[in-house]
Amino acid sequence: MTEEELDQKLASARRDLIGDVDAVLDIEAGLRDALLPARRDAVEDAIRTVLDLGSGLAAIVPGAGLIAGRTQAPAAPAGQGELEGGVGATARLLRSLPPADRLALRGDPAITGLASVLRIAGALDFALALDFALAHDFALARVRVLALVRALDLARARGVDLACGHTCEEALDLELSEALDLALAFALALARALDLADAQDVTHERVCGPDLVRTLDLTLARALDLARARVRAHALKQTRGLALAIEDDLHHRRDHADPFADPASSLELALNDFTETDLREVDLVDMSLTGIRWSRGTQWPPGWREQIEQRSGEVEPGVFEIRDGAEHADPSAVLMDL
Amino acid sequence: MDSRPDPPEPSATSRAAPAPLSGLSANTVAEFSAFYRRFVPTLVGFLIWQGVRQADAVEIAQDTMVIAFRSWDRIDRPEAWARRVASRAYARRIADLAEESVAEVPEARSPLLGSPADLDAVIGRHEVLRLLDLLPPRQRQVMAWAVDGYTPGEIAQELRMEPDAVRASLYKARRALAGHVDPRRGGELHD
Repeated sequence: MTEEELDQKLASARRDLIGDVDAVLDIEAGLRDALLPARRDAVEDAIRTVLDLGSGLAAIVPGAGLIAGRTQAPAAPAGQGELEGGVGATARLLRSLPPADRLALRGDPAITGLASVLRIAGALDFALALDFALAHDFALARVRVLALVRALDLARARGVDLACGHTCEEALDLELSEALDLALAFALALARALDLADAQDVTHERVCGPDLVRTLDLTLARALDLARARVRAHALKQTRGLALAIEDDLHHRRDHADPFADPASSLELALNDFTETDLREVDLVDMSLTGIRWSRGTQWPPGWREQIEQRSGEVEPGVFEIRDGAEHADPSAVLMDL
Repeated sequence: MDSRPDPPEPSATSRAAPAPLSGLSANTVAEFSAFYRRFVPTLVGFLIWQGVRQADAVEIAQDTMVIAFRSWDRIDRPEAWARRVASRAYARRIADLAEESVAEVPEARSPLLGSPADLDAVIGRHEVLRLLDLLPPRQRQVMAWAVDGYTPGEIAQELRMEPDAVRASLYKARRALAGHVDPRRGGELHD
């Protein structure tokens, strides 16, 4: 046998082998596997277009959306400015009083009630801002999703036309169609989640695989979390109205020339700040001292300084705060206790 | 000959964390898909011809195609590139097994091969593979390239050998195989 004849025999055996190998391989399954990176990127891009990452981040990091400028804080409710101005006046009035009078007013029920109401109002203002931001984002997301659904339907229809007219692009159309199907199913699921959150009726059908189901479940869970957060924010908003009514009631019962209202911190500072203050002539016996802030320049009645220092902690450089347990103290009793 | 640097070989990359794809066009997907459908059986046959275990051949072919897709825009001659990358992946796999001879070899699985038994049956039907088993590894490898249409000079470049060494291997291989051709059975190859 010549070399040529042998090569012909080997070439024939090779062709037969490759033909048989071809028959047992699942070429389409292998191709799908090899194209997975492209499909993954296509799906990721599609998902990215329907996810509101800003809202998701804001749900984890409060205020992130506001910092990024994506959402606008709601305008202050009517009367809020007057309220804040009033509290500022109260704080200024307190600061103008002699230290003994200011200390005495710290335990006044009306003052402590006002401080509490202001703290609640501050928290509720934040919840209200969250409520506005969520409403804004849900409305925007719905518009985006519905537009995407329409665009994907159109693109899929075009893909089918293309497949019919250009068989050479069959692979492309297969991948495009699958990516569009996934994106469409995702968009529809998100639309349903948004509808559930907003109690509005938009219905679609979807068919998807186990992996997509997991993805959609995560999306749905996220949407439900947002919905729950929104319900909580709504409840807080209603509570805020109640708190403001209480504050109004307190406001009318107070006999002050200036109406209440202002940031709670300002009021608390006026009540608690005794740094660099001369208290030597003030009778501290039976007076609530917890929360009072003082400094090295604060002057205490004879016999009090050491006990105050022992019951205080430094909260800022050079500023100390009296901890719970120093109220109603008699210097002799304190000395005995310690 | 494709003189540009090879993309990374399959075993040198992680399929669990593929490199990000950028600038993928519809044409790329279409071209690659056509190449995959046409060439994968050839590549698997090429590896089996060299003596690669059937399941490994399928897995290496698939890994090579995954890398080919990522690097598609940088590959001029995809068939030669795929043969070269697959051959090196096999060499690396052999080296890894030699270093970890006590380790249990996991069963290779690939979406390409639904039933390994089917491929085993194919291998059993082809007498030529049993004849090739008689050849030393280098002769068998050179024969695989030669039967796929590569000249001794091209094979020498692909395998980083001297052309004379390729010719010598081919000569010895052909002489060994020629002794197993039975003229009485119409030139049929037999063990």
